[in-house]
Amino acid sequence: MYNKYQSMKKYGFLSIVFIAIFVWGIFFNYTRRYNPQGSEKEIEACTIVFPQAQRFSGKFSNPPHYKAYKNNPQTGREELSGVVVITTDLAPDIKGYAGPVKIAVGVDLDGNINALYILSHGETSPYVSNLDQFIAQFSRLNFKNDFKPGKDLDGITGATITSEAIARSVERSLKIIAREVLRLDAASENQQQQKIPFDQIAVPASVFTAAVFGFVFHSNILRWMAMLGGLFYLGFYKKTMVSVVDVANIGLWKIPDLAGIPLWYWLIIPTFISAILLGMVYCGNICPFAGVQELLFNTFRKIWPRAQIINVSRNIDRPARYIKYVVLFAVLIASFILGNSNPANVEVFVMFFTARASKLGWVLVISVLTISLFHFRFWCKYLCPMGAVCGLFSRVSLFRIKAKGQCDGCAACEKICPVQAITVNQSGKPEIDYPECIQCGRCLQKCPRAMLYLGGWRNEKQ
Amino acid sequence: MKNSDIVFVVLLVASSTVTIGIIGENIRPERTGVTPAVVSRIDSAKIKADIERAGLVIHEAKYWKLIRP
Repeated sequence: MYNKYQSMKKYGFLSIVFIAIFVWGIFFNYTRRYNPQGSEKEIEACTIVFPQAQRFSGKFSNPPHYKAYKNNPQTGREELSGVVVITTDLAPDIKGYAGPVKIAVGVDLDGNINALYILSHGETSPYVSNLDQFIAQFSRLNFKNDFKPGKDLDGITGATITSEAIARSVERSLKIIAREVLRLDAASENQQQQKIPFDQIAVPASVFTAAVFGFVFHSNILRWMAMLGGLFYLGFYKKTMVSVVDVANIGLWKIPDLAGIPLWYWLIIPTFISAILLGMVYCGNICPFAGVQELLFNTFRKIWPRAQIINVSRNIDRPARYIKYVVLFAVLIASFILGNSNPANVEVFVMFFTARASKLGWVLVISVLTISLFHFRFWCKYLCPMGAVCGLFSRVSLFRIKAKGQCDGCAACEKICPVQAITVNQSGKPEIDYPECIQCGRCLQKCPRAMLYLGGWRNEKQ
Repeated sequence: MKNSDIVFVVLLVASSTVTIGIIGENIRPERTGVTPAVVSRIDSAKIKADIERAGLVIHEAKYWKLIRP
């Protein structure tokens, strides 16, 4: 009988490697935060945002800032010409999608922005490819202006959170420095009542509820409601989904603000909780790119019923499934060494829904979509690093599909499983590879003698 | 080995290679999350003169960059 302990043995090594990389990454980046080179970078940033200056002071406190000086040729004396402020010093609580965006802001004595320089950010490349044009707009602003993307500034399409975080942190820093250092008549930051984006709570909650109920009660309608909700809301509308970039950012402790981006929390937390409770609920029933692949595969079969399916022998299929773990470990190690999550930006769904990718990225997107016409969920099964993470969590799921003792091993479940996660063993009992099971529930629906059931991992029905 | 196995292995190797290529592309210095120096009002002649006087040169490549000569 296939049991929890066999499953643990099979994936135990992969889980230990994952945990070891994650723990190492957290410690490695925690110790790196205190690297004194940070201040050298700030001084270099001062020379960039205030190239007119001939000398900069050390960092003043209350509020933290650098003073920029230049020589007056008429008097021959050195005069103050402006200040430079680092946004994370004055607005540490304002975060983008992956933590604070550290920006040096050069301000002249009249409170005009001289120039900006982004010292660091953890945002994902496809979302912030127009960052340069966005921050160039700040040059015409001074402390009296409002900094509202979409109103006073052109925002970045698909990166609303990042553009708002930059605008708010620059506005707050500029107004504090104008009021408290330059002694200008600057009002406090425009403290608008932040609206709670209810859709970011209601939609993911509904989608997860539909997915869980669809799986537990074997309802295909609920499953497709969840899948289409994920596809249109998360994929096409919000252009966001659970990805290995988020996993890397958690290890790097670059997480967004709960009030500003509840969606992030309402995706990440239910994904991992549902994985521990029921298995890969997110991957199987919500992931927008999985929805695209399933729709492509099914639609192609309807249009061209005689189209060949690329069936793979088990001795090739099984080892190939470990490629996604190699991809996962590679991107996590690279992200932790570099201190940002860009190496993890390898997932085709981010490129597909944001429509931003390098040439190589487009080659991968088009290839994966084309292969998906002939092979069910090709990306999910072999290459998706997020699928690997969810798989490792789901191997310890508390509730799982099991076979009753009277099962005669007719292998109907093995044939119907779209991801080949079920194998009838030599003793005629179905064995389920839980980290590969996408919780589609087809085996539960199609078992001719209702021998499969959803049970706790300890329970055995006779 | 079936024909479909051969086709699958070819497709899988190609996809994996491209995936590794993208990881390599992402860890190149200019894509590591730090936007190289971005200076607003870069088109202003005065700012350009100031930058040059400060011993920096403007290098326009994939992004606006300021590099020390």
